[in-house]
Amino acid sequence: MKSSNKAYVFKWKAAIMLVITFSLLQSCDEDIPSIKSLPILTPTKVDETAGNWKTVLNINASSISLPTAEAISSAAYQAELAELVSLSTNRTASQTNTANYWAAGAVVRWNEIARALVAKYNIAPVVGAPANPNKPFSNPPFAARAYALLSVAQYDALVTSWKFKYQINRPAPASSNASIKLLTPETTLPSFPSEHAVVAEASRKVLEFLFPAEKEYLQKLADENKNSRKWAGANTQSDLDAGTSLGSQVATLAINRAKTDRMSQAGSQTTFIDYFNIARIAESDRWISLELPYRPPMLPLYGKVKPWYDSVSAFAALPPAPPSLSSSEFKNALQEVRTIADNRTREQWRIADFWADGAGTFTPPGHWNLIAQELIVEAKWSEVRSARVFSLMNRAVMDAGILCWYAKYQYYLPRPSQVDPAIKTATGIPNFPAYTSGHASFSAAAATLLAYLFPSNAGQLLNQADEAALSRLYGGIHYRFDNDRGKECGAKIGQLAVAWAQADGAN
Amino acid sequence: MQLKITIGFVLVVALSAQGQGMVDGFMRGRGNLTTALSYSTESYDTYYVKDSAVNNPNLGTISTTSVNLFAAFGATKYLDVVIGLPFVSANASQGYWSTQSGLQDFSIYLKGRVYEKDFGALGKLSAMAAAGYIVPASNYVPDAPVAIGHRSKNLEGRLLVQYRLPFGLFVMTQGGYIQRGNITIDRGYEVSVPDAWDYVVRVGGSYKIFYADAWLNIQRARSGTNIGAGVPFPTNAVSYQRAGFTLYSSVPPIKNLGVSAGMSFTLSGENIGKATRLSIGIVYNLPVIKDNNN
Repeated sequence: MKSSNKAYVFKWKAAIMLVITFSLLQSCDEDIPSIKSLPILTPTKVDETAGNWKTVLNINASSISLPTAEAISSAAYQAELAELVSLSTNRTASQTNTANYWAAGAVVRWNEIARALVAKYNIAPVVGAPANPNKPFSNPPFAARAYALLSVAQYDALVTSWKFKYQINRPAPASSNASIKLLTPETTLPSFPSEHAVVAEASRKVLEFLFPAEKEYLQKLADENKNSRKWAGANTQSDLDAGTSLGSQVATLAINRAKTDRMSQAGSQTTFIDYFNIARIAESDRWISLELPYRPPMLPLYGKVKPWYDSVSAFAALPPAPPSLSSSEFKNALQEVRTIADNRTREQWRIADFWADGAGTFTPPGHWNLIAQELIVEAKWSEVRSARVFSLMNRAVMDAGILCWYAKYQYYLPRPSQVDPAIKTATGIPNFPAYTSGHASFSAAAATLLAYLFPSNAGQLLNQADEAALSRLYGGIHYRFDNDRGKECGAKIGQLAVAWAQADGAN
Repeated sequence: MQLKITIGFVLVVALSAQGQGMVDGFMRGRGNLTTALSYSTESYDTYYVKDSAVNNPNLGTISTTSVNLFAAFGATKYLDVVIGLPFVSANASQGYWSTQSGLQDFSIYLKGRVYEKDFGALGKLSAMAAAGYIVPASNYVPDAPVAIGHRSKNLEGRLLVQYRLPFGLFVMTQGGYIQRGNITIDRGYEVSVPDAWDYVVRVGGSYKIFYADAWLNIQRARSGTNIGAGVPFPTNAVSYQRAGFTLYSSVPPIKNLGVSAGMSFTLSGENIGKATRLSIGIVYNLPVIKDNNN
């Protein structure tokens, strides 16, 4: 009898334990938001004179045609204002969410969208499969060009829109109708054409050129971006239509440049061996693919793609020849990689992993776009000044990549594990020659430019670039001289971007 | 008698710390402590991307060896405490990915018997509930192609029903839910490790100096991604069906000592290696508290 009582008591304890367990299971909130929450952009200054800034594609504003801006007193415009009153006062919860999302800034949001698309398409195709234009492999060189094209189209379109904004000088809708319930801050920036529509359409068009299969998705985002401005009470339909028209015309110019930048030949697997005269290099010194089955090297003629900054100045930064495999300098460098691989600390692994940005990610150029975005959001810069950062940086990143790729195929240096198979890695071995490091090149170019634009962050940015380069040595896939020569080259390209920034009229 | 019967079960668990759950259908009995040390080796050259079987010549065969420490203690007649700690090493036969090794996850379970009915000659029915907490014992890398675990902190709840037939035969079923916490990976952001439902059915015979069983384990991820870009990731939805068996024999000349062996086979799965596992172990059992009621 005693023991059955005990059993009865314990049943209750067990039941309570069970309840606690399952309530713990239920209470743990595991949600990770898929959309990054950002503050509503409240620019510290409107940059009235940005219409005079230098454009990358030398946009001639007189060759851009826009619909006519009806007068404020016109019945047509008054009807647009009335629509805004109705939409903004009857905003649903979901419309408010959407408007808040885009109010963080069209430039940063479209940059995020581009990063997500790069990550989605960053999957190596099956060896031997024919190229599929609907499924581009958004590897780091592809991504560098994608970010540059997007940023140039956004920047040039915004500079041109600023010119028209102050020429036409239509005040923000809320200035003409006090009944509009603004979600975004009041602004003195003229609203015709809408800077959001400009960015939405330019971005949509460029990204559709790069990722044709995303056409419908991109159209949906662009429509949402534009509609969000009406829900926010910030732009009328004619502001948006004019922005769409302008964004489209500038995007066409950017795409025309892209069609003739020689990227279409960058993947050619037959001509680069002749071009770089690779046959002259002794067999044992030549890079070979370490993948099974053998995979042809990535974009061997990317080094021939047209750079954004002055090509003569850019190619003056071309890295010198690496040490020969028989030299003591090379042997010491190889031994350093081996020693690190044999004794790799957890922290070295973490650094290798943090900067790896390999398959399925937004790539190293995307990592620097994320870093730039955080600085821009913190600085609360106007849309046009934000676009300028990305345009300056992404052009430098791509040009540094071009030089890096040129060196890779000119020198065709094997990866450390090819020379010493006992070198085990903490990251995937990229399928192209070692010298110079892409990470070092991209990162030094980006950090040099960003350090100029954000001087109070300069030290931290340059440290990040150093760590990104070092991560490849820690990972076991680069010699230290790959990193050092890559950084030197990237920094020189970064200086070209700084020189451009000093002369573009934005200071 | 009960003491001897439970020994084998402890083993099962120790042999499959990463397989079919840590809790069995037997109670240790107040004051009894069972310890086990086992060695397991597991390998696969085929893995499932979602549910299609693939080989990756750049990884070859992935082999994992582990040494598991295990202990189960009967705190009262109705409550057991079970702990486990494996040291795991994993490597790939092809390619250049570095070997990973380290202490994997420390786990602790409380198991309480909530119901028991004796049908005399027809057998005995018992029901148990268990709660487990699993915490990584080192800062191992969770997101490499060759990894030793997911590094998430988990909470588990399980319900077990066991029916013991005459002649030492038994049938046990259990169902549980594994809640896996988010982890922050080296890339600098947080990812969600999917929760899972887990079910085990086991049949066997348990005798004074010998024990044998056969089991089926089904785990179903509640959500998650498929292996993408050829790289496994902690967010992958891992599901599988495994079957295995366990053998145990005491070593008569040495009091309280036993040896065991077991195997498991992956029948099918999603986002996991089609692994075969072999385990051997030694078990030492000692009553640390005298209990006159037992």
